[in-house]
Amino acid sequence: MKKFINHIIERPIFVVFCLILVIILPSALFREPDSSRRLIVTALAIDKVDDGIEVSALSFIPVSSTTYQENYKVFSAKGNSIAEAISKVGLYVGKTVALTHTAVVIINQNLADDGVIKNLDNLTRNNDISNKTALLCTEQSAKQLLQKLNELDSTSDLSVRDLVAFNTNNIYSKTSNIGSFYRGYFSPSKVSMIGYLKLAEEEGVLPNDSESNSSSGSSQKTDGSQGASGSQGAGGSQGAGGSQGGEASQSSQAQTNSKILNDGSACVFKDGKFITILSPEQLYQYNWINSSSYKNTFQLFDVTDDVFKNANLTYIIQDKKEKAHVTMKNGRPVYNNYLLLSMELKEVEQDNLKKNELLLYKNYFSEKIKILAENKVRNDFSKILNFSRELKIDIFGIYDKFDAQHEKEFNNFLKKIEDRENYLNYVDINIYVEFLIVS
Amino acid sequence: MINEINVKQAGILLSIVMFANKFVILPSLTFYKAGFAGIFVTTFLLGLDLLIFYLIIKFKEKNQNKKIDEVLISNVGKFFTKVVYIILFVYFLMRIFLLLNENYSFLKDLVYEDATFLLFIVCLLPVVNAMTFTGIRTMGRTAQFFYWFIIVGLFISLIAGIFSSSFSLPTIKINREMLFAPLRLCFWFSDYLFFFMIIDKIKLEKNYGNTIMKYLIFTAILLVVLNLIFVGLHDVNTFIYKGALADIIQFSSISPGIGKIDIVAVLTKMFVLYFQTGIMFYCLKESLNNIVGNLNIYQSIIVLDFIILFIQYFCLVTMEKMVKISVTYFNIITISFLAILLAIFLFALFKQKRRDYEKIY
Repeated sequence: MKKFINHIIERPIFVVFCLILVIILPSALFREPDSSRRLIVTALAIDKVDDGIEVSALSFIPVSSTTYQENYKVFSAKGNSIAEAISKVGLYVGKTVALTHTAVVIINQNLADDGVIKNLDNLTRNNDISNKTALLCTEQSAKQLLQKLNELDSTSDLSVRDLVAFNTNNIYSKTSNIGSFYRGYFSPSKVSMIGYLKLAEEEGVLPNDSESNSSSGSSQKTDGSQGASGSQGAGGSQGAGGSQGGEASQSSQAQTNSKILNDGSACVFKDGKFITILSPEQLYQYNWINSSSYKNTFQLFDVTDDVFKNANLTYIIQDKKEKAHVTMKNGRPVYNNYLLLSMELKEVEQDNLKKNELLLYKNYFSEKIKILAENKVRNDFSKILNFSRELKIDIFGIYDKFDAQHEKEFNNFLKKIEDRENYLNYVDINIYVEFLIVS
Repeated sequence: MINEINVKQAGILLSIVMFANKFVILPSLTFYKAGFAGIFVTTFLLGLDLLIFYLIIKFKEKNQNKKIDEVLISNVGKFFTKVVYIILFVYFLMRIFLLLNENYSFLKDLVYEDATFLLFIVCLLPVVNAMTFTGIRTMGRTAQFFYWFIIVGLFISLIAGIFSSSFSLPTIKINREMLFAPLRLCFWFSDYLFFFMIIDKIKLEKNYGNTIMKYLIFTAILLVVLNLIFVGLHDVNTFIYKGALADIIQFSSISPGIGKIDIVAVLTKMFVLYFQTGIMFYCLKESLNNIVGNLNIYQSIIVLDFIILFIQYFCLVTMEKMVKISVTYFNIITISFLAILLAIFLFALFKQKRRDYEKIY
């Protein structure tokens, strides 16, 4: 023992280490856990109200229990700014608001009309909340949507994070988060796209339920979650979640049985301001030149050739190679997009189907079908292109590409045209498609 | 026991020093100053550093039996040697402040937001003092052990960034700002000054220059790749993200069971921080000894700790202040010192050649 003490004294660092341990360890051991001092927010909803901003926070409340139980509550507060509203939420609840676990931020369309950037500024400056946090827009009250999402978060089979991830991979094929929004805002085209969720209202009046529900592991949804694709509602609710707070509105007393509708819409912003909503059909048209998106179906109607008669054919796109080529020709920008689609014939819808048609190899693709397919792609693309030109929104990022490769010439071109915002009308945009049928 | 390090340890220490201050705010600052051409700025400054490292190695090869301070005294006199060491002292002190405040801000955001600077210093300074106390040999051997952990952590972060869904190779656009950006950002580089301080402690072997240069070139390549991936990941948003290494891994599509994998970047950064601060503190101690004469090791460490804490609390140093001063004033000191150093080396080289010429004739 004496030898050990002498050994320590000879090495002052041990003395320093022991001193630090003695001073800091007791305060660390007897400190109350962070979860009791912090309000763990998993989702935020921001609404524009008459007298400012209302922020609703879907918060996880840890409860000691022997069963698997997740307890979520919605707390709301109003303020002149988001920072003020968030601090008021913390004040009402008596905890510091911790946004580190915030997975999604929902903004109301009214707020989006007003300009998103000035309202998102706090969230970007706040080092708690990551720019990877999903950002969604909703038509109705974001708070109401949040209360519906409470139902999803409380169960383990479907959550809003899963919805956003699915949409990102399969529908818009673009990330829909704060970072991607800013990326679009700071890009030369200034166009950003984020996901759009709706609340679909069904008829019927339900009794008010002002009690906050502690959502347990067993699902309270009226219909099972059927995936987030298509026009199917995911999760029903009877006013789940109680909202508390001094100035907060009461818990959702939905008088209709509203459901979350994830139909794959996306909304488009230009310069941080809301412009339009892209319907699923428009997104489908846009995705032709979206290199990240290829898991689409490709349908041709009323096909008649040597084999088929008035058949509806469905192909699945297995792979897509997309290459954009930008040049300047005689001072005029030319944007050519080359597509190579690898497809597989999945379904033939035809009356009086013959044996050979049923047994047809999956790589059947006649010249006539090829022409029809090319026309379809070009028509789809023209529709979305005309839509973009009308609204002067460059959702394809054409300006970004020219700015990257022909900055000087493109700027000279912009100076020459009358309306600089209308440059899309003066760009020569072409799409060339090749097909590769696989089995 | 002679307090010397072998060539491999020297290469590792210099490699770690080269990483100093470049994992946190520098990539976003480079983008802010020079846009997408920032990658050229980083490459240029790293290239310049490597060139000067090479010159110092060559200089030492010609003056193997002489120490750097002896060379300085014989060429510029005692007074100017002391002036050189005073400038070095100020330089190392400011580098330490930049390092401490950058990392404090970074760890506060990522690890523990209620942490005070005192807590940060209590965790860091005793270890750094111990490193300096035990000498460069112990530091070298410890760094040799931890070096590959750091490199693996760095690789994991970079690979996670490459496999992120939002990564794409950036389109490099040349602009006017890239001409002036190196002048603004040179304070974050100029790591050859550390080499200048520890070169006499290296046990010189055959081809020691090659070994050291290999480590340095490897480090420079990693840093260029880090910048490239960072800009490729965040594109026009690059200037927003102030914790480069952690922000690369945070946006990764890889999501293991633990949820947040930026812990890898944080741990890598913390390992690096200890060694970087240790080496800087050691160089600070050496320059202080050269200014005031041979101080007792305890005296040096206590004085330096006091100076650091006093300036930090008295001047209310923050990361923002340090960055502002670094791009405005300290870059001038760095450039001036580089000019002085090159002048001294060239003068010494010329004098050596003349002496050799006179000997022959």
